[in-house]
Amino acid sequence: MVLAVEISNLVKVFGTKRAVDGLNLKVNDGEIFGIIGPNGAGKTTTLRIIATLLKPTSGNVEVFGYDVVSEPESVRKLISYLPEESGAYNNLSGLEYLKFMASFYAKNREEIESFVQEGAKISGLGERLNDKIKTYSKGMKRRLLVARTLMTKPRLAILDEPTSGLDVFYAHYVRDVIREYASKYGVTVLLSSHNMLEVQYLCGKVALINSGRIVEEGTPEELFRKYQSNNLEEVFIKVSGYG
Amino acid sequence: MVNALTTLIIKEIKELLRDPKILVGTVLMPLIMFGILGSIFNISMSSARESFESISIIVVDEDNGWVSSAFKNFIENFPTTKVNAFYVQNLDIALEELKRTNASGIIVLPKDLSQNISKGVRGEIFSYVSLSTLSIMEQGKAATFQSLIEAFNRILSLQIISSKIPSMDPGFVSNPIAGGYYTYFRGNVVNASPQTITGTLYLQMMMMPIIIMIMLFSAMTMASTAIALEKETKTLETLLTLPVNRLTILVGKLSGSLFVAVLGTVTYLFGFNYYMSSLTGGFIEQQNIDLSALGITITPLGYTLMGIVFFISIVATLALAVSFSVFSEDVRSAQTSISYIYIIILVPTLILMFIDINTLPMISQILIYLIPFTHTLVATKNILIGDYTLLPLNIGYLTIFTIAILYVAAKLFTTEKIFTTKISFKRRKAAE
Repeated sequence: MVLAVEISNLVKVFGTKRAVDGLNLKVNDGEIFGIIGPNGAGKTTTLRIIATLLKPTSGNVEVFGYDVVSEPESVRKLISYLPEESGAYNNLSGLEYLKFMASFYAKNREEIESFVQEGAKISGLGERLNDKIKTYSKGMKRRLLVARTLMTKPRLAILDEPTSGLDVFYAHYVRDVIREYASKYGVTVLLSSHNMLEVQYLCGKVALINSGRIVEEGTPEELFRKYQSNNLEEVFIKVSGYG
Repeated sequence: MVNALTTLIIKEIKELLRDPKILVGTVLMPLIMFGILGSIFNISMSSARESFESISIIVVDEDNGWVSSAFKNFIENFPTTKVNAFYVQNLDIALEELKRTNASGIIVLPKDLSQNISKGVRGEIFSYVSLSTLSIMEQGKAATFQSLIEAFNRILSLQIISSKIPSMDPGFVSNPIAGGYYTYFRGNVVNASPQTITGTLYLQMMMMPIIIMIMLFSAMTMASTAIALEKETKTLETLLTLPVNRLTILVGKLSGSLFVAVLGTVTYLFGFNYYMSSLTGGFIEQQNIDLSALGITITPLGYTLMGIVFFISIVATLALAVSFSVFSEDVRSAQTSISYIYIIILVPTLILMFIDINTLPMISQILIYLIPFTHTLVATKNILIGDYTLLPLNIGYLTIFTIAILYVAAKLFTTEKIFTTKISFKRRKAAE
């Protein structure tokens, strides 16, 4: 079976800094896979390479069998990427933004409408979708961006801190939506998060990353057993040696 | 997939035109600015015109002879302006009166004026024009005084001639030769003096480079804003992961910027035209010269070629702006980055406004011709006078430059440097 993501010996160097240093990772189709790690561990760089924004210094990265360096346009057709620090076009309305994004994935106008309706539902912004994005709060913008990422039902959703800036209620709602999309539409989700509870709640499989390498990997249950812990936070502390 | 390029262009135009800074600064400001300037000029012109319709003069008559009588009679019947004259005995009283009243000036007819002229000695009439401000409008006042004295001089001259040589036409004696002026230009002859022609063309020749410069500046600002806005609002990352060719994104950005820049130029031209019509409707009389007889007319071919030159130049400018602003973190630093490009547009514009390049030393000519936008300006000027000799060279050089810059812009847009390099004025740093 073709893997959703297959990374082997990935290295990314910025100047003198090795942001990713020999990383290996396999994500199965339909899986919700979480990457956790401290700041500067290489999570965002790895996700950006998978999203075809950065090129690896060495190593291979494939998305559903397509190489991110030699076949980036094929990869982009399958993915939808939500960066951690992301914005939307302030002078467009929420609805115009969803329509703009949908038009790159839809085959015809009917499909654009169906994507936009889906996006409107996920965002939960109701009538506010008719207002310009510059009038939105940080949380509202994030809801719109999450909706944009999932509404097209991509083969692979790459979510960098998906619930960043959201209140408890909406963060909970977004997690439910991610689970629903993964199970109902077979969307593979690769996400990074600082929120261990979120990863524990959402992900079937977790990778712990430190200094640009995967230092531990498994299902949350496997990791709890191995490190005799009750939650991922404890596992992370023990694995990283901070405990 | 729905046409990605159209979607990108529409979004680009919406984003730019809905930005109040761009809408007001680029599209509406020329209309507002020139509208206000034109209105102010119209108001001051009409008040100036009113003031010329009637003029108050203090006359110091120290002569009390036949010339001063003739002068009194002359100003009472002066055809173009109604002259209200107040007569006083000496200059001191006249200056006091000038201070007290709003008279436009003083005319002094000195003692023995009539006696001198009768004896065949040239007399003098002095004028003191009161300048209430130093505005250009006050020149009209001075001109009225001058024309009064000149007209009186001519009448007096004719009177003297007819009394001395009664058998001859005094008009003929004072002016036996009439000049006929023709201009030869590039193989064509027209019945007008070269001063009249250069005067008429001066405005066009001066304005053309300015309009081109504004259009190019405007295009550059649009393109750099379009790129920097994506970075500032953190939308670029998402945009570049969409299933659309990066080159399409670049072309979408350039086209959107081009549209808004052209819109800005059109409103500029409208505003400028209104302003110029305020000027020409006033002092500057419209000259009825058949410029087409001199070959100074733009043919359909000329318009087409001018369109090609403009288009290539604007694309080069947009690509240049993208290449410069692609590393900027926000709109402000992008606009600072592109301000360095302004100089390569400004230099040839200023030079061509005042100097004929061909009169410069060879080395200066080469340096100026190396600047691509020199070719835009030179080509436009040559098209205006119907000289297409150097046009293939101009268009060729501009095209090569544009292709090279487009290539650089496309390369930059498709590499990861767009995320990893950040320029904050002179500082460069790599960011994770």
